[in-house]
Amino acid sequence: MVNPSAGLILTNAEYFHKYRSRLWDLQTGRLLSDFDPSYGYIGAGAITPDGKRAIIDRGLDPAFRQRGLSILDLSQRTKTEVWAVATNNVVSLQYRGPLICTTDGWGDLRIWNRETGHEVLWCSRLPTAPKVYLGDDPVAFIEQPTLQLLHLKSGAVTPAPDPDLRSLWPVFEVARDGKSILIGNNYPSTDSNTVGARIARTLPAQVGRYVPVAPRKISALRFFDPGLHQIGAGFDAHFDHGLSKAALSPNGARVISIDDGGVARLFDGKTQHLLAEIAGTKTHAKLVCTNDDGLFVTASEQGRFQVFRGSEGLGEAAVPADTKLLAGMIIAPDGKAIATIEEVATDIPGFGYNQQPHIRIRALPKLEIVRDFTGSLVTAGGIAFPDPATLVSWHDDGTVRVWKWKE
Amino acid sequence: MKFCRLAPLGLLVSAFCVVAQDVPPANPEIGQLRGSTSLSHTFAWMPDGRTLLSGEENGSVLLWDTVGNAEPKRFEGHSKWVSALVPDSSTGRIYSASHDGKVIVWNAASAEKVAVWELGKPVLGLAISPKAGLAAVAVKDGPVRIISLSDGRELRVLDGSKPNGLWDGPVFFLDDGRSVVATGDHFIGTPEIAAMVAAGKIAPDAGRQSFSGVWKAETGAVQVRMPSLGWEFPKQFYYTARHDRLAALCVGNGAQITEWSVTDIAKALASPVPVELPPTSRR
Repeated sequence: MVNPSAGLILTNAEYFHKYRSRLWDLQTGRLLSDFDPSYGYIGAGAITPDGKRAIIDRGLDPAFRQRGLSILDLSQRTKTEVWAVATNNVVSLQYRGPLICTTDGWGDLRIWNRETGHEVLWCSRLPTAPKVYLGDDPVAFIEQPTLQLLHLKSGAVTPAPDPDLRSLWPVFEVARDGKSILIGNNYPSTDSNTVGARIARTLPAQVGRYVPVAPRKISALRFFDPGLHQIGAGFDAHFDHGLSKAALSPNGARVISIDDGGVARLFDGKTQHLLAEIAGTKTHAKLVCTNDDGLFVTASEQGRFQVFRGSEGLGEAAVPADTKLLAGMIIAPDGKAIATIEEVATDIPGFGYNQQPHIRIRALPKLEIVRDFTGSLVTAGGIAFPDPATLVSWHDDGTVRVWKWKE
Repeated sequence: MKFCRLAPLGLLVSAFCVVAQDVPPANPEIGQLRGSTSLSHTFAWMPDGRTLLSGEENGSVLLWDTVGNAEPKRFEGHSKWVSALVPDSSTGRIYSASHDGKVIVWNAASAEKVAVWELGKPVLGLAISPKAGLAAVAVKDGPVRIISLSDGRELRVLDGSKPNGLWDGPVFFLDDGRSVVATGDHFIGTPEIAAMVAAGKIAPDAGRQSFSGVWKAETGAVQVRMPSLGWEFPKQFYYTARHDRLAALCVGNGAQITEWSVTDIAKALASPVPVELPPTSRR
């Protein structure tokens, strides 16, 4: 329900999201209140002309205490800062200072100022949900039909800096200083001979054993300099399996990668030298992150964490059996903790079995949980640390949540 | 009456760590209204912000004083789901629309019927323009009817207008009182598809695309087509607080708001030919 003159919109999640009512600023998309799930509406609702109260019909559902029309005080405010920035599920998010850029499943690209709520830029119906670099000249990497760079200020389109660079999947990591982008892409086996040979020539001698003798899958991991618009140094790619994930340490001193075979590699970010190779990650880890000292964490979707320094294992941890580890694990800017997306099977009386997303901060190296955020109702698509005290998560309901996780 | 607040999740202390939870959601209830017997699908606050109209699934229209404890005043006349309520403070009348195919005009003070408009189809949406003496009524499958407020006479229909679904038929008068915002669809398919539709070989809506648009109430012709480029199922049209944009609220897997510049709409209305107008913003 909308009250345009008061600048408010009261929304309601459907049954599986527990009918929770949320009050938003209509102009900026900022979440003002996130109400107790008992106060969702299933009939209708209306906000008073002055915007101070609302009426909702909570319906006949037995989950609610009793049938009734409730009058709500709309002056209460939720302290967690949340933005509704996408029309469909958020696919990717980038940040730079106060700017947040999201892309969604509709191909919409949107840049917001998260301090003022003002929309800076909106592009609609791009061919895919692009990866975005928020530099002085913001660029969207459009991957269809071929990889192109859309310069968002001018609207100009330029081809990819490397004709062999066709896709940025599965790795696209913008360095915190904004001066480089870590990209990694998996090439199909049918045309990998040429590409493989070319990449192999740029690699250190010790990786010669990986040069394929027959067409097979090759994964490249390289830096892209957005200022010079050039592909830069390459890393010892994962030749036996496709890249699964790669990440930069907060200051770029280390690069960690992991492939579909569960092999993790730690590199020096400056020299590109291979520093460590771990072939024995448990249950084929899919997620990985590292701090600037080379302490890195691998995690499998089944919820098994392993912590290493170089080749030395420092510890292991596992999430409980009712918990899944989803596609999100990043290192805090100070390198002392990681943030994870975990989903816990929760039985909510009256609502039944539900997967409750948790955004968790785990301290290194023992991985104990130090913060556990549960305000989100739907699956989180990813997480980011725009600054040391702030964690951002984006969700399938089109919300971006900004969590103040430490003072 | 206030419900007890759910126990805050707060701090959970384990043997190893302190787990700080998210801020608990707000419990906002400050009162309840007693006397409703059926699910309410539409509400309308009166301008005083205290008096409330509710329309129920069983056809009842109730007028509430939300501050006092008095029983609601009942307006009985509909037999099915009340879909829209429009108070007119200038005349002291209330217009109610229902899936029983009627719009009933009520005297708000006496709860007596002033007039009954028989539409013959479930009514999904209703808007009035006291300035022009017109009502726009969205009925199931369309088209939107333009009706004289003074005598309930149907003046014309809006060509090509059609509610997008079974439940929502948003209609809205622009400031001029004579331009109506509604939804419609038009054929964008190929001649081959048209022939297959005509022969009954494929669904009758094949090749048709829905849109939001502005119709001229005097002629019934669509003047501005406004494809939202997103979800095409608006639930509500409104002016933004700054009055510089017309907005459409669409509800599906989330809420989407599409906006068009009011200045652009005015130019399009002045155009000698129909105009297609892209949105200014969508979020």
